[in-house]
Amino acid sequence: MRRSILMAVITLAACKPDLGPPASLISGLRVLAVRANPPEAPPSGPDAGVLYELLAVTPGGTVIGPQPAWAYCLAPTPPSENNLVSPLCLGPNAQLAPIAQAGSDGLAQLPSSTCQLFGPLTPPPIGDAGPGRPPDPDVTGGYYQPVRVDLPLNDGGLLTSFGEERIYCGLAGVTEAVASGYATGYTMNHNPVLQGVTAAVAGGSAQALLAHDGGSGLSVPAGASVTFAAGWPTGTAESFPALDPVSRLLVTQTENLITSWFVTGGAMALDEVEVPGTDTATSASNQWTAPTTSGPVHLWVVLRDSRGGVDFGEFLVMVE
Amino acid sequence: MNRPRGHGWAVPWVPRLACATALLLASSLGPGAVAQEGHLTKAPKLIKFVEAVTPPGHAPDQTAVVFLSITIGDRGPVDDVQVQKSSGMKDYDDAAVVAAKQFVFEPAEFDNLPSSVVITYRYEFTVREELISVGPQVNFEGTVLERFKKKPLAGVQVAIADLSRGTETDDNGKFAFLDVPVGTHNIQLSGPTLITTRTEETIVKGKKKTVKYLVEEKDADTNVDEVVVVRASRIKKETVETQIVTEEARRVPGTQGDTLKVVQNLPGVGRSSFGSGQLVVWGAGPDDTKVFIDGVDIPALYHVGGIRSTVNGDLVKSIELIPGGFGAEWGRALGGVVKLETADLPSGVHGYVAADEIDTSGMVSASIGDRLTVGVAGRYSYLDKTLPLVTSSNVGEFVPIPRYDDYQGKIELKLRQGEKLSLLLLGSDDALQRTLYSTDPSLLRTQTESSYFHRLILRYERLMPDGSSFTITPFVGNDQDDNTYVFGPVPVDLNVVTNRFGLRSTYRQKLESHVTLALGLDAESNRSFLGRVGSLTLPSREGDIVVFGQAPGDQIAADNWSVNIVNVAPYAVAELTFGDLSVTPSLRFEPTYISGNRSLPPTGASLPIGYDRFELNVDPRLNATYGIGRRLTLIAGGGLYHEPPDPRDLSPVFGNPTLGSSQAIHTVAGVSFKLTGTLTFEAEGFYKWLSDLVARNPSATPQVADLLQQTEIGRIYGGQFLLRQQIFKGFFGWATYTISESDRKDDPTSAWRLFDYDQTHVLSLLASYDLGAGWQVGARFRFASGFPRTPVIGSYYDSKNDQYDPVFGPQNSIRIPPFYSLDARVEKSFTFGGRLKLNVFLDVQNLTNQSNPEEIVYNFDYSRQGYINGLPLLAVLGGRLEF
Repeated sequence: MRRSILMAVITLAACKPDLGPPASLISGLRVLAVRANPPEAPPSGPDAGVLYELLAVTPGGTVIGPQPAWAYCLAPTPPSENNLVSPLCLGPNAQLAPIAQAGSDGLAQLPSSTCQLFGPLTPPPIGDAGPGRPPDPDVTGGYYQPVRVDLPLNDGGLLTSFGEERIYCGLAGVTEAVASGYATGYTMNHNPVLQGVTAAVAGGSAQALLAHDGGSGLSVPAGASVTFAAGWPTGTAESFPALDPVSRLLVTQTENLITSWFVTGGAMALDEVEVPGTDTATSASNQWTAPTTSGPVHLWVVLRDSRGGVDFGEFLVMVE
Repeated sequence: MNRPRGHGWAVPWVPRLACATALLLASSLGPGAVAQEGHLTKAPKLIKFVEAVTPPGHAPDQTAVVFLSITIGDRGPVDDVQVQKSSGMKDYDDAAVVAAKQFVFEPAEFDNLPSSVVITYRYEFTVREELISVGPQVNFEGTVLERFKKKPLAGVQVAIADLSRGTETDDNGKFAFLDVPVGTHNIQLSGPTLITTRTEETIVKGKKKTVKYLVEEKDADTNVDEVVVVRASRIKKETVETQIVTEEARRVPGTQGDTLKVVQNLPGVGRSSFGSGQLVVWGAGPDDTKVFIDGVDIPALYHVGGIRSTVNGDLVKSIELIPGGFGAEWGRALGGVVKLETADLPSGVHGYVAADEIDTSGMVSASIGDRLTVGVAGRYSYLDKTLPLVTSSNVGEFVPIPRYDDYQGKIELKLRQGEKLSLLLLGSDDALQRTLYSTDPSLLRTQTESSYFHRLILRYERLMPDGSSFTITPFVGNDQDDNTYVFGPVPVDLNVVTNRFGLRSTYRQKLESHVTLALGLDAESNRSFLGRVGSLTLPSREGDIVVFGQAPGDQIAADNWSVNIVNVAPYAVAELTFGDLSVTPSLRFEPTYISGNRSLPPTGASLPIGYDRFELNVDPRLNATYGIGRRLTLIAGGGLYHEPPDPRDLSPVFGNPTLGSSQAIHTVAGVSFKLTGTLTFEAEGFYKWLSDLVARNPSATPQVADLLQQTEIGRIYGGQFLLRQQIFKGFFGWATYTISESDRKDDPTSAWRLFDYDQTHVLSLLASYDLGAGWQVGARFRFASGFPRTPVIGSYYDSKNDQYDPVFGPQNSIRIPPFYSLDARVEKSFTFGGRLKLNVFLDVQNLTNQSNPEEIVYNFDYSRQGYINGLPLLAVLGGRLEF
């Protein structure tokens, strides 16, 4: 039976073999985040302009001034697809709409068809077929336009990543009261703000970490256990109405805030720390064990909210 | 001699000393004869001969010659008889005289005038063995006994097929035929509760043929051991079947004493995916093989994880696995059919209790008076409590440990002779709950799963005096599945409640000695109430391209819908026997009514619009066997099969309410050869063609209520081999090998791909030996090809979800490494006072602690891969006390 298939999936998930270092350890060129500003926009109107930023890192630190290629994916994601984007968004013949570049960031306006391709509006019919089935929203009731970014590699290849722009399209297939309530009560998302990261060596007091370009950074003994805490202002977790798929009525949700941690040395206890929306905490903590060899260790913290908003920061720790 | 009644020659022939008399007519006149004047114009003519009575008291081969002088009167009668020359024995002389005096002649004529004359007559006594009939005689008789218990079987139809003659055994199992002609005849034994057997007998002139037949009874007496009948494939009822006695099934290593788990070791049955307990039969999907108990469908044969069967094996009389080509009595299945028949409860008070580290089970039955018997059975698991004691305390995070229980209750009432009524209540309950923590909250997984089913089955059976039989089985049932999963932020919730009721009825009658007809009705109504919230891609479907452990898509939907499927299928099955050829055509009509409460997804305040439709499927099927001699049997068969849509697929949000039945064509051919009385070899080839299967709509923008479509086709072909030694001097075992391929094509534009459950090679070798003094040992070796998987050839970063998504290569183009396992079992039995029996066993699975890969896993960015291995050595120590 199908349920047994899923049970087998769960069964073996905890019996994983050793597959190398965790995601929190940076050992090569990687993209850690794609930030859109604003993180949510309509396809048209005065709020339609979006600026995209890329956080790409190496063990030596943040990659400064990469020249990525930005594009909107125009191939809707099939309902049968587990992945974020359709396979038609990949490869050399992908269905893309290039985004004009200004320096290393892309400045763009969402495609006019985005609410039909990725939003709640009825997709355009194909041939003589009847009306298409609109995509379903995520758990926050949101719809997203995939944004592809290709970072050129030294060997001529491309490092492909995807971000997603939350698109404001209103609601479809709901009662007038629900649609009206959504229109009046919904506020488009804002990016969270990472206020900084503190570090407390075991038994010591917390000290603010300076940004990577703020000097030599905090010094910690080799092999020390350090508690990092990433903070954000009160109210960063925004509340918003969302359509409950069961009742087809609006319910109020509060964003979850997720911090992702990355280091170039040592070991993080957790790759991510999540603060649910029901929790009013304004920080998230994580344990780090410093490496046994001395030297600089870069630390990145990416703060995300559950509606696609992103902020990030880089910090430097000196191991002695 | 008299001609006997009936055909052929009168038998027995009774040897008798007869008189073959040579008539010697001497026209000479002996001494004392009165010379007659004139010319002899006409010699006297004997017109009435009288045979002399052989004098008693002589040797059987005694001969004698008496010369008589007979005076014939002018009117013909004999006037006088004198002994002219004695035979040397006066009693022979006297006997000849007495006989000759009764002779009647046409008188002699002299000059054309009748005249008296005296002749010399030689009367000879000789030995001639003459077989005479003394009336109709039994020249072919015998006794029919049950094979294992040697119990006489009454009511067995014994037929001389080539003569269209038949009779029935009496209460002592005896039968007899009168005056069967000399020659070789085809003998057939059959009956509504018997596995039809054919043989040949040669009748010899003057000799009575007495035989003893040991046959295998399907409907065993209460005192006969339950027989687990497992048929490797069913062409005709008695053609290809593997019958395993309960004690054999219980001794198979790796089954932990669970009789019904022996099915997993049969040819044609693939190894189930890890932790599932599913039956993959001849390349068909697990949901396409149906399980029936007393003709009533149940959702599963095994509890979650495949650890135990859902029905107590001691209540089961027979289990048949029919991988394909089954007759019209069974339907709603594209794969195979598993048939369980419950056993008659034994008279008196009986029962057992068994326990091991997995669960405890027990059963007790008691007779109330002569006609009423009641029995209850149950099982309860505690592996979730015992396993942490012998492994790590958090073992539940690594291995899903289900909790399960099942119960059965049965009431049997014997009515008239050959008539009985039974009520069976059974149920099964499975629950599973666990949480997998992760350093990455997006990988947090929780799982809560519960499922149960209940059935109440009433069964009336009547065996008519003429050998015909009638059964009717109404039933009601309820199934429920609750599954809740959380994959990071993505919830999945699926709940299904199904109310079932139905009726199965069969009337079977032998019309002629070579024709048996069965008419039946198989009706079922299933009303399902379903609710689903979550990702469209979880639960996953066969054919989905997904990596093990991959999070589902984050798009969320919800639906509540109800479906009613009513299927009323009359059917007819004819068994025709033409000597060594048996042909079983059958026909099944399947009108199906499907209705639902919602044909479109909910939109705004619009009211739901329901739907209903009717479809009619006609399924012709044919099976045939041909016996060549007493050892070789050729088999062939096939037919058309349909399966109604799954209610879970009829959601307008997650599926397609317009789905109809899927279809399959089965073809099977093979051979069965009896090497010895207990050693058999079987080989079969099979081909199945599947159409109108349900698959995901690959379009990026499918139409509303069209996420699933019936464009998938499939093909399955292969062969299976079975070499089996039945219990012989304490030893039994078998070797099975299946080679097959199962492919699917999801839509007309896609290429053929391997079926997700395809296993090219499946090999199983097992043996068990009774050492004596209550000791039994056994071993089992299994090999199976790994399941197909789709390789990951790259990945890309998904910033929104902070995860990497895989880029896939050709679908199902690689395989998990093959599976090997060696299992062993040792058992000791103790008997106390003749009533109590204690069995203690140790069953070790994966004796060599082989690391068998069960799944391919990848690191966070799919740059590295590894394998998750299955269970290590698993030892189960248990005991069973019977009374």
